[in-house]
Amino acid sequence: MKIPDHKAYSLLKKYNITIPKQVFVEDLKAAREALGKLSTPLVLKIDSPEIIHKSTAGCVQFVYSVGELDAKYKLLLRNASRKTKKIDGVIVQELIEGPEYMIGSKNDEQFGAVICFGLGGIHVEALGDVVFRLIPIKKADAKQLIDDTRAKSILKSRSRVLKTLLNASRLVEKEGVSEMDINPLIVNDKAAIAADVRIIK
Amino acid sequence: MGSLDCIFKPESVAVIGASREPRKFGHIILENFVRGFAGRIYPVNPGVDELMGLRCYKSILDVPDTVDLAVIIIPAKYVRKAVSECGQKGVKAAVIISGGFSEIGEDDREAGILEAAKKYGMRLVGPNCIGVFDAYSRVDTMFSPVYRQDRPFRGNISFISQSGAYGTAIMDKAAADNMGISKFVSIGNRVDVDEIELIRYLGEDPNTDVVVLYLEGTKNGRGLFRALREVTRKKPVVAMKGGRTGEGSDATLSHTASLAGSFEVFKGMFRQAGVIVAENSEELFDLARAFSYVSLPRGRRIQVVTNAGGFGVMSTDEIIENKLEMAELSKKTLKKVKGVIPPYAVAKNPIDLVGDADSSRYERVLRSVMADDNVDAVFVVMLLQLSSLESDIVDVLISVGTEFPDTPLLVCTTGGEFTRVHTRMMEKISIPTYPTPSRGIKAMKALIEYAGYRGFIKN
Repeated sequence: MKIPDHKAYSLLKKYNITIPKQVFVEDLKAAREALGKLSTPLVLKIDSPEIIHKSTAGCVQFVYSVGELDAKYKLLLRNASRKTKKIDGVIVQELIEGPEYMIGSKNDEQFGAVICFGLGGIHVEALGDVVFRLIPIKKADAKQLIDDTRAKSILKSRSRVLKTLLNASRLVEKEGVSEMDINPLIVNDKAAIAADVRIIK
Repeated sequence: MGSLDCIFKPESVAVIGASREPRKFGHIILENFVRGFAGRIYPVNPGVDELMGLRCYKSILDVPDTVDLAVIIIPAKYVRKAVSECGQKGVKAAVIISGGFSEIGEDDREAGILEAAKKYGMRLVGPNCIGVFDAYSRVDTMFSPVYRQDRPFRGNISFISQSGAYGTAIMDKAAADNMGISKFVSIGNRVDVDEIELIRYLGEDPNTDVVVLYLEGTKNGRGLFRALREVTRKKPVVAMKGGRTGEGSDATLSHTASLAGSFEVFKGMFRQAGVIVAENSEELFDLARAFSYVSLPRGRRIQVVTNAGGFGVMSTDEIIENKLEMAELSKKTLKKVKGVIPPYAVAKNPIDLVGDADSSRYERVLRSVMADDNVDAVFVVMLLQLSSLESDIVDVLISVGTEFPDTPLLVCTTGGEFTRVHTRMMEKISIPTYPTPSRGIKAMKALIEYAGYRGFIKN
């Protein structure tokens, strides 16, 4: 079962994995109030147990100026309600851009919990630059894991990615996660931020 | 765990299903033991009185001696009874060659033989396997006749293979290429003895310096990981995973994350455990030979010595692309090298001895280079098509290699029959020789990476 996305973000936070500034809302009024705490551009994401691939379903909308909020919020809900009635709410999130990587985890039939790291976003399928390790990983494992990817040569903030990997490994181990996708993990000069997450228990 | 000694070092063996028919497995296996095994041999077959000059027994229970190891080559439905009788007899282990068990869905039959063996504390290899070859004790259950499949001579490489036929082909090729082998085990359906126990056993085995692994899957992933991590701290393990594409593998294999074929996970696990990963069969033994023959380098600086400019360039490309370093010779060495090479030759890295180099030019240059503290490993290219280079280059390489045992020396030579003859000579005296710069430098990289893993190279 996919856990609600806003709870998945909270789990990341609990394990010191940086997430975008965001507010979880259940109606438009609350979304308007959230504007006071966040700065544009923003991204609205539907939080529903039934919608896994949000962007293709029109369930991710961008808000570049405050005036766009109402229209984009309504569009988001209209698109979502075409797919399902089960909608937990909407995540209003500051938009983070930058080079995209990914951290994933799954339960391998032969080896149990494994973690992977590599190029993320649209590059995942095309380049297949994803490397696996068994959970739990130690610092030396995380270092070697990063070194085994082709992406390492363009990676900034290596030490932050390393910490994020160790934290993700700990999260999967302690929280009984069966599958996790942090994709994209945005890595720039200053931070490694889990811009989107999906956790299945 | 000393319990597997009964499989590799038995004092007496019984061949159950020994046969008069020259092409039958029971005949070939008995013949293997008669030819090479120093212990006592007891053929078992109810219809025969004598085989190859040995008395043949109706049942294992009739053998008037203790039996350490039984080799079972009879139809599957009779195997359980044979295993029980072995147990009653006090046999310590059995290698079951016979097929017809879980590989064709006969899971109960397989469970039955394990139960029978457990009752008596007897160990089982197989079923459905080629079994065991030990070049030292000459336990040899490989059922290909020697005129089709040669046996390798004694060496320090041990090979565990999930595929029996592949293993047989490798043993044959090892014999032809002069690659020495310590042990070979085909694990078959691994109802009892599995790759994990074998890896640990080989880790302790004084006749094994390199463990080679061909696996398609495992029944105990975490156990395999732990065993590998333990053994790689003592000896190199080189491994290849078959079934890269997942085609034909069981459709029930979880594909929760679409990226994660079991190959990628396997590869990651190998790396995490300190295993050297080979991409294909050729690489598997290219790397194994290097680990078998030379010592681990203490750094990543490589000196290239060649008699062919182009191969010097290609070797340099491979060294740089593999993130290794070109050595920089000391002033003293450079001066010495310049003193022995003609003025039109190049004394840098690569050192190009040029096309008219003879073995004494190689010898003098190699002696200086191997002695230089700025050099961690040497890559020698020698093209034997050039008529100034005589066969005694082989003697030069062996004497230089012996004089400087701590500096690994790998050789690259390409060509036809004349070259192949010399390659085999060099393999026989443990000089790892490769047909291309790319294959040679890959082996060099594996040596250096593993030396780093063992802490012999400081970053």
